[in-house]
Amino acid sequence: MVGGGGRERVLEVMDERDLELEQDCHGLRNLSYKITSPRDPQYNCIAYAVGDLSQFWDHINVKGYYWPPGAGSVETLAGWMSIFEMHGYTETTERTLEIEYEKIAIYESADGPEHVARQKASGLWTSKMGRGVDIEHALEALEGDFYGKVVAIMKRKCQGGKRYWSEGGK
Amino acid sequence: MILITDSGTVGRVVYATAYHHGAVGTNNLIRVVVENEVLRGYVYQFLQSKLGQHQLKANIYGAIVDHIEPDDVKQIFVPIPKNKATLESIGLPALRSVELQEQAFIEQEISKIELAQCGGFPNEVDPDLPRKIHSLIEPLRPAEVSSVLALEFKAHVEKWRQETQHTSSMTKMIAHPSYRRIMGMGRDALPLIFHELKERPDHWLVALNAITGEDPVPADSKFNEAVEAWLAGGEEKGYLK
Repeated sequence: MVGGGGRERVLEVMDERDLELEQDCHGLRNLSYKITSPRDPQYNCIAYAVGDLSQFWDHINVKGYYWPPGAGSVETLAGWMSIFEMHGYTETTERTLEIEYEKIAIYESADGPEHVARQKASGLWTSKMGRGVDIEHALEALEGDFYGKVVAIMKRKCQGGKRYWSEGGK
Repeated sequence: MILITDSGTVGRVVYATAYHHGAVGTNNLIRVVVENEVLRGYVYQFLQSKLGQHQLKANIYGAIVDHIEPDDVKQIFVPIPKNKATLESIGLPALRSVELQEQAFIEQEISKIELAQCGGFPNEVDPDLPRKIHSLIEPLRPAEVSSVLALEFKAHVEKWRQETQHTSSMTKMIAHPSYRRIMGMGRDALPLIFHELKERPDHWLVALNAITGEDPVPADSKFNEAVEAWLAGGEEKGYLK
């Protein structure tokens, strides 16, 4: 079969995208993003934001899940924020890059907190998408029906002038 | 893959689904293999369009019965949009329509079997149905559970995975109707759940806990350790043969 219009190039671009993810987060169709890991059900966005890739952070009465003792409810924004307060973050209104601070952003829908992303030194944001892939993205690219809107930004001073996460890693 | 009839009613375009798995095709079908899924959906849609059909039928020969040749299909010109969004806006709905057709078939067959089992009209059940159902659930394995349950389980797992894979909330995952339906299947579903957990580790721990009333996971276990503990228990109880 003969194709016109650069079929090989199209295929190459397709391989760098997660179409199921784009169906949930429509903003990713128009704003570029980068997949940085395969799918993995063993950790979620909160775990990823605090730097723990070995556990799924949720408050549920079945063994195999982790929720920090003393943290607030998993169902509320205050509960999510309490997790990051435990890790030295405080609330801010400034979402742009401040090089001496690490930042996280919490998305909330009408159902409650849905997602959290972490800012990289480049100013872009990185997220673990539920049980799916990790991606690098613009903050507004995940806003929409699925995750709601960014309702809280928190920051903490880079410890020893260095970010907790090395930029070469996840 | 896409199939095209090349004799008699020439140019009918069919998308092969799990329903066709294990079936034997005649020599009057031309296979069109497109590796990329979205592109395959696009090509499937294009071949049914006026421009696609005109090209498919341009070289028909045969005095009594119409024929076309695979070489004719190879020469079809398929304009592929350079814009990815345009390609997707055509390819994805085409794929979705195929999925819905497949789902509709499964639902209809389940309904037929239920009717037959109620002593209704067994003659209306396709005598070849066991083979077709087997081909649909074969990748799922267990012969010891009922075909209908396995079919339903598979459909719910896929729906749950697709619709909750990007949420971080266990509450939302287990509140999904498909997850609840699977928990509602009770102990009959245990071999299926254990097999699914082994093949594609995912968040089935709540369902297993709810169905069995047990929790074999040591305290402070991480998710992967909990999965291992459940699988060991499933193996021991004969759910994973």
